[in-house]
Amino acid sequence: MARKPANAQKPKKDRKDLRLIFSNMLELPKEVALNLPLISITGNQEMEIENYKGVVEYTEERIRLNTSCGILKIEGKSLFLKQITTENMLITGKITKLEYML
Amino acid sequence: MFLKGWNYLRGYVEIRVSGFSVERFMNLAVYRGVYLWDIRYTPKGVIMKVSVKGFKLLRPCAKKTKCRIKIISKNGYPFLAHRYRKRKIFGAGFIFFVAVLYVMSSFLWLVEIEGNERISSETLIQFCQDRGLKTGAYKKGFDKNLLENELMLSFSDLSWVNITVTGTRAHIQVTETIPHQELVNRDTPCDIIASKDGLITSIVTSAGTPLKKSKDVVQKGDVLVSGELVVKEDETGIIKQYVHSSAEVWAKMYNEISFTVPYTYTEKAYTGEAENYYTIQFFGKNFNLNFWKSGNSFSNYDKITYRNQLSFGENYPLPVILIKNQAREFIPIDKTRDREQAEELADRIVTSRILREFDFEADIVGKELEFIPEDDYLRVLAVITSLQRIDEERAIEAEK
Repeated sequence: MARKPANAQKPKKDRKDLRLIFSNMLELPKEVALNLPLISITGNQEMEIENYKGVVEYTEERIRLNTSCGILKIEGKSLFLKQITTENMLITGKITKLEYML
Repeated sequence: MFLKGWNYLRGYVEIRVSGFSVERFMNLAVYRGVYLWDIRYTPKGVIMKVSVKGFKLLRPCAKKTKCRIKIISKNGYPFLAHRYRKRKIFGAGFIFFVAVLYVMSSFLWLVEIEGNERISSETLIQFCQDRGLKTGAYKKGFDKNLLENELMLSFSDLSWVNITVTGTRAHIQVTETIPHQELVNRDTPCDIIASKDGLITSIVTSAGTPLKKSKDVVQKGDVLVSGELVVKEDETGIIKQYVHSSAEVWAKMYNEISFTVPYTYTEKAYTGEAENYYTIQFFGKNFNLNFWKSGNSFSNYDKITYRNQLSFGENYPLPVILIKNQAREFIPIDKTRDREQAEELADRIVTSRILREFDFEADIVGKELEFIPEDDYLRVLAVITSLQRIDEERAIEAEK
């Protein structure tokens, strides 16, 4: 049982590397090819995150989101979720810090 | 902005979600395709907005994540409509208002004419009225081009006609032709006769045989210049030719004006007191707005009437005319004038009568006033000496 996930991990990692090589070769947008989040920030006021996986924590000072490359932690003041859909999320407020936690 | 309007139209609910893991609830809701917006964190719970449709899907999510949902407010058109569902009269009234506005604006409420000088507006308006263009007529009830053509054909003095209908106002714009000179037919023989009595001061004949000369006294109807022209006169007989005579004849004449100037007169002293009476004219019918008042309390007053047609902007006059009758009180004060003032007034009266009664061409040479004092008035006898043209054409009856 302990071996099984290790075995399963290996081809998956290979596949990911392969996709990275492929996308680099063909110059495909990485967020599509690798399913990575696309984050655009307007100053320190607005932030749009596409391709996120879920909300882990939401308070006024801190938001943690689950993404394909780890947990994204956003810190700031009076954070406000303007809209949420399955694909994207719009955060407004005073953003002070962004951090990826693996 | 657009999204906000759409959300308002569809209706949305503001809810407060509280529980152990609101994040899980949000994830689940989003995963199930519920659109959430304006999510705000408060210590009591997370406040968010969700559409009415989405809200129905939230209950199972809340149950699964053990969260509690509390509705804070319901917003949007469907809730508003639901609240006012019993106020049918209000709705009907609103629809009726819009309908009336629409119906009213499809009629003409003002017909204007611009550009006419020689043709009177009444004639043109009457002509248009007979052909369907009048106040209260349906906008599409008359053929604009046909009417324009008819106007052009019926009035030879018009060179251009344009009818424009803007809103509830019909504007008829016309341009008149240049007045054509009256043609003088020089072939028809005629005499020149005197149109007034007088003493001839000058006579300038350009055609015909003058029968009178300067300083002759003539009476109305006398032949001044004859159209009969003797071409040759010898033993064989007289050869005559009849011409269209023409002459400019000026004569001096005296006109007498007599009138009286009383020594006493009344003057209006306005007290400043005024009473207003309003009347509404609706579709040509008068409705008295001050029906409880019967007449005014003044014994002496002047009545002034103001008319004001109501309109929506410039292009939408309405069939409603507000009429304001103002009664202004005055006190008649009896006054007397002395001889000197009476003479002054008489002089002014004479001057104004000269301006009014004499031809523009007439030349006033002299003005003599004679005053005959009576008991309570002054009799005035004015003799006006003037120079006037007295030539007038009269066709010669065919003798040959």
